[in-house]
Amino acid sequence: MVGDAPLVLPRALRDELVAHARAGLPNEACGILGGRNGRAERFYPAVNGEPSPFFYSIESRDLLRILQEIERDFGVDAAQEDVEDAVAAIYHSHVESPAFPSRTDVEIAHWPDAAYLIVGLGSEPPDVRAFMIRDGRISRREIIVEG
Amino acid sequence: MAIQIRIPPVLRPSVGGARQVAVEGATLREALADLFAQHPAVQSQVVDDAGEINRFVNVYVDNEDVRLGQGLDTPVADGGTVIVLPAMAGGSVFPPNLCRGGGDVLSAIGGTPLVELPHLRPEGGARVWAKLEMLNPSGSIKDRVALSLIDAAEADGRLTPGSGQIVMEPTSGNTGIALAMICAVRGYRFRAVMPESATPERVQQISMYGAEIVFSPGELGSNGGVALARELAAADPTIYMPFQYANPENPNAHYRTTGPEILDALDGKVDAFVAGLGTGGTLMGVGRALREANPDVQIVAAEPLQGEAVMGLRSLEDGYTPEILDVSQLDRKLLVTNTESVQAMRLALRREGIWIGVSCGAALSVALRVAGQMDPDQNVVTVFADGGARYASANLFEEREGEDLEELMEDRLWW
Ligand SMILES: Cc1ncc(COP(=O)(O)O)c(C=O)c1O
Ligand SMILES: [Zn+2]
Repeated sequence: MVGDAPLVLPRALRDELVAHARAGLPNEACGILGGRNGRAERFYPAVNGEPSPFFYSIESRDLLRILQEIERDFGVDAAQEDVEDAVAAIYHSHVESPAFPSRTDVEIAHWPDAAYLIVGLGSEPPDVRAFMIRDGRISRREIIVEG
Repeated sequence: MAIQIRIPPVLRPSVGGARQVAVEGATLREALADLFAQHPAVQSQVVDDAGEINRFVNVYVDNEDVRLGQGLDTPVADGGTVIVLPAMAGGSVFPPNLCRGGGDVLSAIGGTPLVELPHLRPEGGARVWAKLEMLNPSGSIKDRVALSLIDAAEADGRLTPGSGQIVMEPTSGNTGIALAMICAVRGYRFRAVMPESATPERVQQISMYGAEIVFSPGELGSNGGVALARELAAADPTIYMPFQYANPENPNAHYRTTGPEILDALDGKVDAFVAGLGTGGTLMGVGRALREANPDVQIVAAEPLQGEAVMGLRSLEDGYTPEILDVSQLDRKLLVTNTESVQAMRLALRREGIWIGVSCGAALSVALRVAGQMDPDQNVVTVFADGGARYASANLFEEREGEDLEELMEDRLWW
């Protein structure tokens, strides 16, 4: 699976993510970016259901609520489409380590069509990077910051 | 009326592609039991051996997470909907329950430590790290490759465990020892084809596992072994020859395991990777994994001087380019002499307390050179493919007065 098109990320959204990641310290922060065709359009912050500096898990009720909101906001026709079609990225922060998927991130990545976006707070300015994780393999996905 | 279970995309291959599956039952437990009866492959992806919902799967009935309520006893009404969603979760550390081992000895292959070499770090240069591959069960990095070669042949039916089939490979060393171990465990006969000039430790270790050895003329080196093995395999079609020089499972083993393990240990921050080149499997497989994580990483081959074809490493000028080797994937090739390799090997012993093999000395020598040209916040990684015990008879580890290393190392194959 080579050559996923770059993920388009408006600058304002990027800044929102970084602010959210910082506000979540000392723990990892998480959320979902809604958008179609590789273009992130809207940030849905989520509750980290297992708050820790080394772990995140989008709280289960929050996960369903956000996905249903995305269905509504992006007009996903549940009869024919999947909510995945409007999930541009799953985001979480790394509080110290670089913005690269950890072994844990890879082991439990079950959303093959969404970009995994990581905000690495260990560097200044924070590093924001995206990856595709499929069948235990990581591939880098370029981000185009727009605006 | 039935209950509809919504299947997320990641699980659809296990239910014949369906987006939802109609089931019967009064509780979630019964509804899931019906799903698993219809589609057995999905069971292990949703529940564990004890029948509990997997930690990273969320199940909702009437839009409520059942884990927060009655769990599997949650009543499900006729016409109701069950939603299954994989968790969106992860972290930044390696959870201890994912450690290797626990099966037979082959489950202990890989997962080796990456250690820093702070006492050899060049002043003002990059940090230097080494992966301790001699800690694999048969003592070298080739356990990873041999396992992936045999697993692939079993998966496509060319080998059947316990059959006593003959596996043959031209190898004077580590690959042979690793294949001999794996064949002993999986029930095959192993035949190694090697030059007569191989060190006695290696010959002995291969035969200790119960393998047979066929010698090729020493003066023809490893290329002579390859030619003889090809002849023997062509004459007997019942023999299975994995042939690591051309088998993509060789680099794949490193792409799947060695590379990701290095990335994991350094959280993806690898600026240069240095390894010796035998078949090229390590450089190709690890290189590809590292490059996917960081396109700017430098992949560096440590290459023996032409004519000093004795290091276990291949000089690309010596004639044969292995099929799996794509030289365009190497950013640099740095030449290393026998003397430099032995000196680096001694330094590893005296300063870092690590007893490494001769080819590791070559890689280490080049890694230190590269680190000296890089910045202090950068990481240079190399692999210590095997340990020094395999070369003890060569008497290279202790300095002798008036010694001539070049002469001492002539006429021997070191890998
Ligand atoms: C000790 C040692 N070092 C390095 C290598 C080179 O590894 P590769 O075959 O992956 O290029 C080998 C393999 O032949 C080896 O046995
Ligand atoms: Zn992570």
